[in-house]
Amino acid sequence: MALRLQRRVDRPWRFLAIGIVLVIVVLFYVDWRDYQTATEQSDQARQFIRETNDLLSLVTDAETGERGYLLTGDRKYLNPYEKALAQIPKELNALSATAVNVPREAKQVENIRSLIADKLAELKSTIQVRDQQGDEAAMATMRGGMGRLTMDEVRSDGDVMVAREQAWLYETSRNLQTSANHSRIIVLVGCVGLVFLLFRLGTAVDAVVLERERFAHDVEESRQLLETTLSSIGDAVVVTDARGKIRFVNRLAERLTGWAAGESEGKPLDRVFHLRDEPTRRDIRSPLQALRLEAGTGTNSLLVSRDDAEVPIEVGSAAMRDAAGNLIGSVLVFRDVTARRIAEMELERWKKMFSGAGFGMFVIDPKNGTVVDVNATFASMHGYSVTELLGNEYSALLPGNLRSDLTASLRTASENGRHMFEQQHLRRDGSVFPCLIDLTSFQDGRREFWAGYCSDITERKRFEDALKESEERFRNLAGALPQLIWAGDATGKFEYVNHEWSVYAGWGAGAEIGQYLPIDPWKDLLHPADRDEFLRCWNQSLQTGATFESQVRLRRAGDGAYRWFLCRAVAVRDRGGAILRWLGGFTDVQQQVEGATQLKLANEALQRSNADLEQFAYAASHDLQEPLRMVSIYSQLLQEEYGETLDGQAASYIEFAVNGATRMSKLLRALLDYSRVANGSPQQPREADAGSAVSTALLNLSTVAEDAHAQIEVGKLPSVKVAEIHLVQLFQNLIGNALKYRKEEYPPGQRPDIRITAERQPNGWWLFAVSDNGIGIEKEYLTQIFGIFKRLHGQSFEGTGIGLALCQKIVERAGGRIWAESEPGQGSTFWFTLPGVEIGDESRALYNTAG
Amino acid sequence: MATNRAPFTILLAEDNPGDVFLVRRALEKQGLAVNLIVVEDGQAALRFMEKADTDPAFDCPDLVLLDLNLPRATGSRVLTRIRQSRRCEATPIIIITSSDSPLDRENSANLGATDYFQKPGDLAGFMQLGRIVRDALGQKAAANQA
Repeated sequence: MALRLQRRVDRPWRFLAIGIVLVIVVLFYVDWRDYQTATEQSDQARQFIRETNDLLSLVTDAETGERGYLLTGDRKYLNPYEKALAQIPKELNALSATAVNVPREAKQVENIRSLIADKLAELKSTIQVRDQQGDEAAMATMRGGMGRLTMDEVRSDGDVMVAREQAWLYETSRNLQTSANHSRIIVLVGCVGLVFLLFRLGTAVDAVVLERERFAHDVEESRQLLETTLSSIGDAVVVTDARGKIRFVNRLAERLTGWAAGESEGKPLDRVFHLRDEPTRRDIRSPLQALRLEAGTGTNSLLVSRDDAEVPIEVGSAAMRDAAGNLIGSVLVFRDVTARRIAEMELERWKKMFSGAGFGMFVIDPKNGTVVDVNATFASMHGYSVTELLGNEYSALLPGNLRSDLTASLRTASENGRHMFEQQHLRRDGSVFPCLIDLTSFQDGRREFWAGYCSDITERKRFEDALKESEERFRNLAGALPQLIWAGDATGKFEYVNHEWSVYAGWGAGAEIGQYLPIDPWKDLLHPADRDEFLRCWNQSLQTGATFESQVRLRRAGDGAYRWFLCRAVAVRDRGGAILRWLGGFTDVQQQVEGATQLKLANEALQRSNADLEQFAYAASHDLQEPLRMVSIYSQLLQEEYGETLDGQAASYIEFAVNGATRMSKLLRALLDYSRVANGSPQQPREADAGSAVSTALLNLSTVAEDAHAQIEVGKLPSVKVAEIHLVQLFQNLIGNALKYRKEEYPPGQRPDIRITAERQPNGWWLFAVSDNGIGIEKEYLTQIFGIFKRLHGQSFEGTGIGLALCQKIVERAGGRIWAESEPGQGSTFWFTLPGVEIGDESRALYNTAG
Repeated sequence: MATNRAPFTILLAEDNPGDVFLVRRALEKQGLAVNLIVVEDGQAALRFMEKADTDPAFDCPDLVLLDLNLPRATGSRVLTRIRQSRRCEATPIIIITSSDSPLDRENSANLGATDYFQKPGDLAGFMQLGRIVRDALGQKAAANQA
């Protein structure tokens, strides 16, 4: 429509403009052609003039040369003549050629050609005359006037031609001037006309453009109105054209399909609007057709979005037709019904829950107290069916005397919004059972209802009674115990204490206790010195649930005295392992502790005393050696120097003195060894191989062993935690004893037999045995033999009486034990235990105390 | 074994007269002509060393026999003092003691004792001291002659 409007407006003006331009062009062409012709003719006229002048000049040159020759007879003057003679015919021909285009001069040119021929002939003849007859004759000929006459004619004719052409040139140039003036006028008039036309045209075009813009604006406005409307409505909208290609989608449709408007436009509908039938789970191929079959609406459909998410939708469609009834497109309107679906499902779920619940549920209309709804459990609990109860009064389910209570309960529920209470209910058969009722008031629209649940608590009641009885028993028992018994919650706060506890802590007796509970009992009870350690242990148990055990002093409220208690508490857990409560029992161990302390003190005193004794023995034996050495040496000196002068009696006296001193010295040395073991020798490494210790001992005893013809068997022996020097002393003493106390005689085929063995004990210790087949020891001496200076055999066996005491000391210092077993006349076995090298010092101490 | 020099001077620090007698006898048995200076306690021994250090006319002993268990100042102290002496620090020192403690033996060696003689309980054993002294003096004489 805009285009047509434009044509109508500018058609006459356009024709007029074209006409003007054509006229101007025609006029210009005519003018231009005339000008072109005039210019060409002018050029030819000018050429003609130039060539005529050149010819005249050549002819003049020829004549001048001839004259020079005639006058001088010098032939050099004939040079210009001859040059001109050669040029003239060419020049004449050129002039004739030019004259073809200047026809007005043709006759004149022919005339001048003959004149020039005559002239040249005259010149030639004159020169011949001069050559043949001399200058006089030539001059005469020249003066004859023939030549001169011809020359004038030539000049006259040439001048006429030149003048005439110049006049023509002038005329032509004036004509051209006039023609140019005409052209200017035409151009001026044409331009003015065109400017006018352009102005008119511009005005017309402006009007058209304005009109068109207004139109476009209107269209855009109505489009935006439509789009805004479609975008802001609560439904998704898709518009297609007649071929089912998408022309428009609104924002909601973009969101639901997952296709942006820009992407979906022009695409086939089923590509973007991907439908799936919900019950069959099948994709719907052509949604429009499917929808039309369903009379334009569809439920049960799932929209499958671009990212494959399914959304339940409700969809409607309509065809768009033009005035003639042709289909021009379709409109699809759909909405996301997820929320409604969920609500429906929830409702369904609640309904199921209500009807299927394992406890009784009911709804009462507070206006008249009738039952609005009950579930099957509630009905069967009372021996009815659901329908039997609906519409009846709720109070009918209660024993008659309790109905007034119900009114009060219902009022409380109404006031507080919720009320929980126990109530006796009546079954159809008249029996009564206890119920726990939880009643809630709620608004359904504008009406108020009471909803409640009801559970039969017969079992619980029975259980509670049993529990009460059990607790009573526990309290009676705990009350009778002399220990401090308590029960606490999971955080350790006391919820129950027995009578003993209450009295001890000063919490009063009987009913008074109640006001202190629950109580965090540790504030003032603990002895300050024990407090930190006790609480650390207790808190650790609280966290881990580990059984708590500690010994602590607790303050007695009566006299403020602290007494020692052995405290024990165990966690009671539920099935999931979580701590429910703590049960504790504290036992007064004051007496045991006091006893143990005294024992410890006595033990320490004894150890100190032993150490002092050992120190004393060391000092004494060492210091006693000195004077004894003097006695011994000087007795020897006396014997050596005066032995000959003394009589036999004196000599034997001296001998006794020397022997006594020597023996005393040996005793002292043994005593010194013993006390050194007792005092320890810290420089020595406290680990040695028993096998090599036995070897060393046997080497030291080799003479004795050989004398005894003894057979000595050594088993495989381990390394033990004893200094090597002591280990050697130990074996040397025991083997030495075994050799020393052999029988005087053995039956044939037998001889002294000594065995040394070791056996590993499960605790890492080694049990050694040194056994012999010697004289044996009487039973009553078996323990005495380890005493110092204990000798069983008087002077009949050499010895100091310290060997076994030393052995005992060595073994005991290592933490072990030594003892002897013997059968008199059969032999003895000395047993002792020593720690293996892998035994730590701590466990050795432990073993020692335990032993 | 005649020597062409003056008899050796030996300093003996010993509080037990019985031992002094035995030492003297042991030396005699070896035929050693010695000038034996006896001091009976540690203080006297220290004083002797003081004099040796301060009086140039006073000669250092050729050898010292030192009991460890001395009254008033221990043998260890005397030993230390001799080894710190300006003039006599190189004197050979033989410890004579009744102690058989390895600790005493080790300490004496650390303090610079030349030899260690444990007094034995028998006469013959004691007389061995004479030979030990003779050997020590012989080494010293050889060192001097060289």
